[in-house]
Amino acid sequence: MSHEEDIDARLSRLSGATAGVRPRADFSSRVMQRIEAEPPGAWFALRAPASRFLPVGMLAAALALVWAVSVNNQVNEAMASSDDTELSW
Amino acid sequence: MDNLTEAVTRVRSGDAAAFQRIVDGTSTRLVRLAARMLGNVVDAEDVVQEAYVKAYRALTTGEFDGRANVTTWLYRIVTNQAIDAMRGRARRPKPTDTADESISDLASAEQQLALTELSDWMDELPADQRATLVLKAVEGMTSPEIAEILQCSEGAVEQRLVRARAALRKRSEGR
Repeated sequence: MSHEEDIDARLSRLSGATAGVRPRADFSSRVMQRIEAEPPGAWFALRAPASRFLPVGMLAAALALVWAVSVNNQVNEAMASSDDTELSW
Repeated sequence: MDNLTEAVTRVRSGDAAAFQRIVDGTSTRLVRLAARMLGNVVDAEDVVQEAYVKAYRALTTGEFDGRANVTTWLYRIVTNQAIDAMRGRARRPKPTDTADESISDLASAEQQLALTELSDWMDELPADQRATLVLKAVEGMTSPEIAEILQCSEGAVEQRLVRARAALRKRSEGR
């Protein structure tokens, strides 16, 4: 038997001999105790307020748009009237 | 949607208890994998527990987007944790009573002997080669599967396998 066959045969034997390895019965509950001790993720901390503030944010954006249009109109009117004044000079 | 994927979705939406289904569905395979890399069940349980905590954090922070296969993703976290543990252990003096301590009720004496034999045989291999050889020849995975777990190319997997086998061959020739 070659060394290569030796290696494969030994790996195969050890694979079979360790196929029944499993964690202790209380492993799952120990993991869950650790998980329950974890602080809530930053993801949840951010997501809840973000959804709460969405309608307020949308209203603020709409009001800002109305204000911007109104200011733009005022500026246009002011410029038009100043052009008239200049012409009358 | 399979059971694991559904559990992942529920954990991502804030249901921490659904993580129990992920643990129940994967812990036997993951602890066996880690034990085959580390040589005993005690260290394997520690590594897998830390891997689960990392996975839970990744789910709750949105780091894991749910597009990758859940089992492959968990294999990746456990393998990386085991590689770190092997590297850490290589820097520390080897404890003498690890095998005796972990025989008790963790694995049968035959299983523990086989884990110890596997660990001692591969002891001198670099951690990444050892992990690759275990995934291939002991876990029975294909090279593309291993490449996905280790996040490297199939060529790199093949190269590590060739080097690992050459080192084991050299070791047996040297006896």
